[in-house]
Amino acid sequence: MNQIADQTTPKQDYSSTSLFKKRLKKFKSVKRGWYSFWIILTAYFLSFFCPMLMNNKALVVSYNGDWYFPVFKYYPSTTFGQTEYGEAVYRDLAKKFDASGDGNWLIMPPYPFGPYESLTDSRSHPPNPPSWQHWFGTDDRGRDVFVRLFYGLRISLTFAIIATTVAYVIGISIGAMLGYFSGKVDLFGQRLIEIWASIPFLYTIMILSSIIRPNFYMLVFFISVFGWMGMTYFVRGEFYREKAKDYVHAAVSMGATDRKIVFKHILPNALTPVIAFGPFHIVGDISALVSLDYLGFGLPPPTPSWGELVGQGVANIFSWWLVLFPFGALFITLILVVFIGEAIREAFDPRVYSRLR
Amino acid sequence: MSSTQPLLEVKNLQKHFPVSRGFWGKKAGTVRAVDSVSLSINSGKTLGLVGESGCGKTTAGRTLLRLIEPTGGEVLYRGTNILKASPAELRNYRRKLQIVFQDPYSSLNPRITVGGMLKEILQFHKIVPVKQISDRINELLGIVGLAPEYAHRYPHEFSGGQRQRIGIVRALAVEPEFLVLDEPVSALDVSIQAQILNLLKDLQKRLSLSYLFISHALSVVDHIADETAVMYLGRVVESGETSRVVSEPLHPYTKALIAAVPRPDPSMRQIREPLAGDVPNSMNPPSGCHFHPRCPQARPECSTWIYNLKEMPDGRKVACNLY
Repeated sequence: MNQIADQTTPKQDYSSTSLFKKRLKKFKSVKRGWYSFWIILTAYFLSFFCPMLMNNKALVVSYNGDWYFPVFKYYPSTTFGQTEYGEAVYRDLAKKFDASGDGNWLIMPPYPFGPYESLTDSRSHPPNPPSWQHWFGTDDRGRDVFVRLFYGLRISLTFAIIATTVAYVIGISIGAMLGYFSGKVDLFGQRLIEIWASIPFLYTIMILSSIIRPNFYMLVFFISVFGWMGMTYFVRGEFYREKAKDYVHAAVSMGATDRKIVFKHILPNALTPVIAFGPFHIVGDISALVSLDYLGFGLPPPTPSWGELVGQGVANIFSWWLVLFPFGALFITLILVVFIGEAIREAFDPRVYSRLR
Repeated sequence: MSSTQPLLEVKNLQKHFPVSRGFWGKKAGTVRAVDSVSLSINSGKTLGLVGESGCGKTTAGRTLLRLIEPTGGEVLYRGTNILKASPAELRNYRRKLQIVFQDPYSSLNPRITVGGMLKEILQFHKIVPVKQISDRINELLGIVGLAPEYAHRYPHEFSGGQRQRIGIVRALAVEPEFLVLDEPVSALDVSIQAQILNLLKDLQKRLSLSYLFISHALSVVDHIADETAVMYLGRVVESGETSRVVSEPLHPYTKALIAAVPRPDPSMRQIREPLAGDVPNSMNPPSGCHFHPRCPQARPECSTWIYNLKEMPDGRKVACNLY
């Protein structure tokens, strides 16, 4: 038997780190990105509880011994002895309960204003500047800007995440196909993609939107079918590079099927550029939705959307709160996502000291 | 099965790559990477395949396993032509014929642990029952001198020599009879080279493997191979027993190769005449004998000579006008 010198001493730490773990560690080490990630994640998580945190509907009502949960269910105002048309007005109801003192009570959300509610009962004419009641003021229809921004965050981020995911699935599959099969598939596929990419998507969506009023999912669909082309170039290039490597030949020599080679062997190694690009794609999709909403071709009113608020800011340029807060929210969100993207890019960078000085 | 039949016989193997230029892909020529390669490997033996960079030895090795589809020729494994095998048959042959790659860095998938990689192979080919897979992985790692704990590690956590051991164990996982060793030591340090070569020799004895050992280094082939074939521009120019090929080369190209091997002993130093010129473009090889423009013994008729591998009285084969 031959001596095997590079066999290491038996007692040592055999715990192993996958590339993913290594990168996660590096991602965490970029503090700016890591904190941005947590801020965005927390804000996005909280935005799913919006109806319970900021709403004009009470969380719980105890009325004549019965319990009601208006956040989840519609109750006409007559249920609680009110005379208004439509749903009960819970803020008024709270005052009434307090005044009468007959044991009925209700709990309002911490910030008791809804996103669709026009607060025109105020003495002044909307838009109203920020006050203790309305932190960011109200818009030109008297709706609370703070509430609409927060509801808008959920819509913007959800929209961008879904649209990016769909665009990625399309782009990665097509790019992988082009790169793996190469030859004629690649040649003609790429020409088709170039033709498709040369369609100006904003105008196309405007034309489509003027014919049919798009809802949330139609907009996601439009933006993603016009947003996947960039991915194919990255993935195609990576596939070309990776499939020439010997581990792919080794898989072929083991008799692995095309599907297994593409999905198990090449794809995980081809995702680096697209993952690093992900947050920037999300930024692009947020901006795309904002521009569409700003132009009035986006989500149907009265959806609380950032573009619509930005539009109001431009229309009421001297109502500073309508300019500052929507733009500020947009700016902060975009910059946080960019910080995340930067940290991810850093985490995927194989070189340790890669900053240009 | 007769004992005289070689395990693997390659007859006149060819691989031509079309070269296209311009937008419409007009055919501009053909690279005859493998022009005419005939080899035969006996069970339990090692055949060395030597040649300069770009002479087509790697292409020949890969074509043989149909990692690259050949243009022509035959590869007979125990008498059946695997170039005509159906996909299902090919899968069976791939259990018997395996390859170890040159570059231990690109030949391992960086996202799969060593154990994961071996597990996939063992499962796919149903080599052992599912319950025994992890035992078998440990056993396999032991065969190439790696600790069983290494199964949980990723390729980037290994050194070059260890990676090459992993490359070898991957090939061994399917329990093959024949390995194509595509320059398995060229990317390694000299000290590690010796370890890997000894490991390969040891494995050959223990598992009765046959090797096709591709290398550009004659000294390495001399160390490991029973027989040697020398390639020049896609053709085998000389083949025979290694000791004879090395001690008394027949073909002028082989002579030049042997003269180029550095000798560590100064007293053995001899006057070397380095080969003039460079390897010609394989898209447009010289007429007749491909070697004649660089050959010190060239004659006028060499430029019209037609390639044939002639058997010499001592059993060697040589493709040269001089014999």
